[in-house]
Amino acid sequence: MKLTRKIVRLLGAAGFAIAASVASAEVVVIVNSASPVASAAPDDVAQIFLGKRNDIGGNSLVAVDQAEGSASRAVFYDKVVQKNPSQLNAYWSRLIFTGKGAPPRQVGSDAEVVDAVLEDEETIGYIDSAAVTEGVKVIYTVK
Amino acid sequence: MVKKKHALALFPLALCFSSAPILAATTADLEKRLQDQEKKILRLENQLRGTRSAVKENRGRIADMNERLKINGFLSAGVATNDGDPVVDSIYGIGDDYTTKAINKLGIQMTFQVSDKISATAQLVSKGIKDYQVEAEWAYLTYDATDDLRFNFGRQRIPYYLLSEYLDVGYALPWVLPPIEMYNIPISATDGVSAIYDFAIGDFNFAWQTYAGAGGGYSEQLEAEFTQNQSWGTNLTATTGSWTFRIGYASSNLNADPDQGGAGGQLIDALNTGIETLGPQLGVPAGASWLGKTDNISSNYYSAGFMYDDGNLLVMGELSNLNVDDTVQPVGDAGYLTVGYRFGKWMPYVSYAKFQTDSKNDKQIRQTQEYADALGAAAYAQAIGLNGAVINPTLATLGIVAPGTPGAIVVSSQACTQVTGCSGSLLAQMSLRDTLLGAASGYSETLHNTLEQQIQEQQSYSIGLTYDVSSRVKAKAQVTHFEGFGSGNYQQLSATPLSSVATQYSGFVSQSIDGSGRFTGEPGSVDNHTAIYSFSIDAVF
Repeated sequence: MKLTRKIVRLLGAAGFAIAASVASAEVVVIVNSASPVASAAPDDVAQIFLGKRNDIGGNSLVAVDQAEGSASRAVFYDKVVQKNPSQLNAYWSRLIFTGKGAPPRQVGSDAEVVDAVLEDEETIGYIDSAAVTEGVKVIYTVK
Repeated sequence: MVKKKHALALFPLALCFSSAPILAATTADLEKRLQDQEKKILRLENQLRGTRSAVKENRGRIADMNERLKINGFLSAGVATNDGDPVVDSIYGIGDDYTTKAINKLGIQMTFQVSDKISATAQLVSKGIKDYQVEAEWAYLTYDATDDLRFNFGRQRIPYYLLSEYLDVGYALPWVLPPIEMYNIPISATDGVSAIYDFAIGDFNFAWQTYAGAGGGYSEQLEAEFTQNQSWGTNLTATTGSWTFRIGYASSNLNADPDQGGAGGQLIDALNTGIETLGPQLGVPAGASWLGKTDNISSNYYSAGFMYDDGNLLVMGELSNLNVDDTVQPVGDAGYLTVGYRFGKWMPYVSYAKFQTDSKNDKQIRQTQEYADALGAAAYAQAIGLNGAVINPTLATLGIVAPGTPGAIVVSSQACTQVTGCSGSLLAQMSLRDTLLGAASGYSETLHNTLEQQIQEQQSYSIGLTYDVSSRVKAKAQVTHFEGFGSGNYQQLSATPLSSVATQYSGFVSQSIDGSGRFTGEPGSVDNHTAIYSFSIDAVF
């Protein structure tokens, strides 16, 4: 029993590694596996990252962002939030300098986003699909 | 050989039979080894977990400090000039010289998260138009009562306009300079409390803000300091998709403290002199009861605006009305419409803006003018009467003027002092006459015309281009053509010199002259239009 489980796990990881190396440019939106959120519409995800709402389907979520210069960030903001870096900075400066809001916390890499999501059931982040690990759940795949 | 061959041929089969127990033994061994390995992995995992949590804890501490104190800033630097006209825009001080003061500004904002629910924010801004003095535009404590309701205590920008709260942040604005037709209220901050409540209905997200406080500001146009008491206001912003809609109301009680000798000060002083001394002496009936009032002036501000921004197309517009009771202030209806389209890093835009003083304020200005004209006319009639009935007949006896010289021909006291027999009482009469003539031109000319300039209108067309230098730096250039200043009736006391000592007066004549809108300058000096060229580099960090 134990052996077979182990083998399945090993095979699974290997298979994942292969799959990941094939489709590496895909960005996914993730939450903690324990989160009740199963899937999300891109608009809802965008609104959370723009600070316009703080839940999906009544389940409270806090965004963790990636720092400027990250490849996942560029894809995420272009495809999901649909703002270029200038528009995004203009958007946040309108809120920051009027005390109406602040951009989400930023971390330095996909791995750190995963860490943050593993740590907190109410954290939502985006990463390269290759960085998906056990304990996180993909709720949206950026197309 | 053959046997051997056979044996060899049979070997795999034998191996096959004999290997069964060996395989069983190996599996048990392997399973045990795997179990050992698994234990080892578990131990390592535990070790790793310990290390990781220590790293995380450290990182958490750093992140905590980093997140508790946030420092942001903005910067604008640029230059502006008009097209050589002898007028100065009264909001940014842009004239025919190149000015950088109109655009240059630097702001630093610090926010410190005191606890989960409390944060402190200060925004220090140094602006060219305020001689680079550092001022706290914002300095407040925020209390997040719930996720949807928060209170700000302290100094805050008054949310008059759609963009008023980030008017200093050039990077966040589509223009080099906001439309001066609309964005021109001299009071920008209030010290008090505000509440912001966020809620959603269907696809609409709402933010409802209400504030109350006291504040102040300086009007360059009136050269007067204003303090605002019991000011309060409320506004509702709705956003859905690419749309933002906003309506707002603000009310305040104003106290004006005009500069000694400034435009507003002279006006108030003249009115008060008329009301207290000259009017009763000349028998001019008192005008409106509020004339000359500087305290407890009530003001109302209404605004509505919208913005559409889908990432490429930007359309925004606003309409507002400011009216002030019982005073003469050039305030009123304003509006603008801006359309821009982004082509990658470039965004060309066009803008139209219009301003006209409120009809209630125009009426108050006319009422004040009527009173000033009545004073001027009475002073003129008395001066000419005195001159015709007393001064000229006396001068005729001295041989200075011909007998029967009408009162409208005024001889200066200089002519009298040159002859013998010029009595002290005659000189006193002439001095009174000159004072009355001075009052006549002071009220019916200077005051009347100053008031005339407070009835203002103008419109402007702008064309501009924005370029994203980087994700945090924009360069902008804008040309704005101002026109439609309207015209006003300007009065003049008509006086024709007859000789070096005699002047023929023929009453007041009025003349229609083009205005100069909200620009400070002589009426008619710009032929009813001017233009402003501006350029800026705007950054946020």
